[in-house]
Amino acid sequence: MPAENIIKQLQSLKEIKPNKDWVNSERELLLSQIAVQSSPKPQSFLVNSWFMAKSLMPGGMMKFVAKPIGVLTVLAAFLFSTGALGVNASKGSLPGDFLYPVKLKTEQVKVGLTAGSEKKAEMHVQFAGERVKEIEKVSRQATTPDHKKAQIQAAAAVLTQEMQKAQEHLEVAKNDKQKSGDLIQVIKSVDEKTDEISAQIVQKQTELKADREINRTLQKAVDAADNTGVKAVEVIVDKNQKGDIQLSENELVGIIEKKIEKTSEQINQVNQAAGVINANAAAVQGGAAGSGGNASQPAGAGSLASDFKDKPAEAKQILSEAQVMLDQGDLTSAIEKVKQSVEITQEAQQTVNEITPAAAAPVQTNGTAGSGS
Amino acid sequence: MHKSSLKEKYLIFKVRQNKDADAYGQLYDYYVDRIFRFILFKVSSIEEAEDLTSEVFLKTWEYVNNGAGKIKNLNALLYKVARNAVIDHYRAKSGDAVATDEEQMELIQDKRDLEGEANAKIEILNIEKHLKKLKDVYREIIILKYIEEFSIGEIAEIVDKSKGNVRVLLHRALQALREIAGE
Repeated sequence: MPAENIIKQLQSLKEIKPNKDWVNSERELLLSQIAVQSSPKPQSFLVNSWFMAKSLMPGGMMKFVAKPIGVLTVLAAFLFSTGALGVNASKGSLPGDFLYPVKLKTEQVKVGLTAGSEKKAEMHVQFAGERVKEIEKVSRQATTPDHKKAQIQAAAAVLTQEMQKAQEHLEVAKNDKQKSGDLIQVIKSVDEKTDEISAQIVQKQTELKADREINRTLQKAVDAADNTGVKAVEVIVDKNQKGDIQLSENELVGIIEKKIEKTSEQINQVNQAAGVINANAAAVQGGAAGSGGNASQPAGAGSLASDFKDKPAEAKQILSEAQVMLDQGDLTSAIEKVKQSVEITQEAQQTVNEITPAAAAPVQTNGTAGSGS
Repeated sequence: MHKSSLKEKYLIFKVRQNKDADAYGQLYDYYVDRIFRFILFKVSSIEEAEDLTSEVFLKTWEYVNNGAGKIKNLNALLYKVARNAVIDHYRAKSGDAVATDEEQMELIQDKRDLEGEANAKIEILNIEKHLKKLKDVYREIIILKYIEEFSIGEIAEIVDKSKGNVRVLLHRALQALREIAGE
């Protein structure tokens, strides 16, 4: 083949690009971690552990460690292999701590050493659970609000990534022709754990809802957890259809019905939140009418009607269709409908999250400007 | 932004002086596709490429902020960090079971964001398969020269070899690729 043709073909490889969603979520994570490192923080005893670990490293490793490149991997591999010191040194670290990247790297190494895509997915979900614990610990710490915010956002961003990786592994497991003995148990565990994580993050959102940025980051984490749960159910249904696993129809129907029920609850919550917003907007309009029309609406409240109006109804309609298909025994179509409903519900929730702080802000009448945030 | 331009130098200055995350974000936006692509040709899965790309940008941040010397060429630095990250990755990973080349190619091709017509996609898949068969040192030189479009001097800096050495390697790499493509 002439060299010019080969070069032309090589140049066409420039079209290869990373997934845009990954690029965006990765950017957010990176900037969160950087922001944490940049914000003033209290001195951590773990910094001393770094010097201790360094002094205990085998002599031959010191040259390698002296380079800025490779430090994290070498340290993670060393800490991981030495057991007690390794696990204890980085295990308790939180976002912003010196050894936190080592903790994350250690987790990555563990996933790398795990065989089986479904087990890798389970590990990622397990590590997502660790992020929830970190968020909890950070919330309880006495530190500056900015630092706390950066830490929470960093942990939530990593949590979202763990869930995305779990979904990727579940997709691989779905297409994997090999049959693993405990496949069904592992995937069911992924489904249950993601539900648990989703509920814990929602709880945290309620506590921290005043800060819109934190709320936004936590919502992404909730959505990622929910999508992973739905993906797990999709894999269970698919594997059962192919005969790779054996589950009774009752059990399968029960698993899908649980997802339908959860999605229905989420739609109701979104509707409730929307009800509050609309009530506030009506109160504002009523107040404006009484004071000669000088009040200003909270910023963005008026746009709720157009962005949002049909979404919960649409999500509910699709969910009903899912139930019908489930009743007819078409499990694959049922779970597809559930996925669509979840997606629309998440869009509606995002709209509500963006508007709620503004709509909840107190509004003054008689010519003074509204104090929407 | 290209080849240590004024803008890039200013962004690096902001990163070093103020630990400016936004400035680093702009550098990330410019380089992420290229670093990901470079790593993807060296590893066996998209996930590995993503993980290592993340690691590269975090390490580079630390290096830019903590390194004593001036950053003359961020481009070269990023690729060096990427090369070393891949080497470390395989050292840590040695002994782990990996999927066959065929399976990995399927994983990568299913999930990648490819643009262009269907025929172009087929061409891309073929040349990728040929690339995978090359020796690592040849593949790296080919990628840096024809995909990332670095000069011989820039490649020499990244791979830590002389320009003459790089020219010879490039000639041999292209020869080897032509032989594989002609199979």
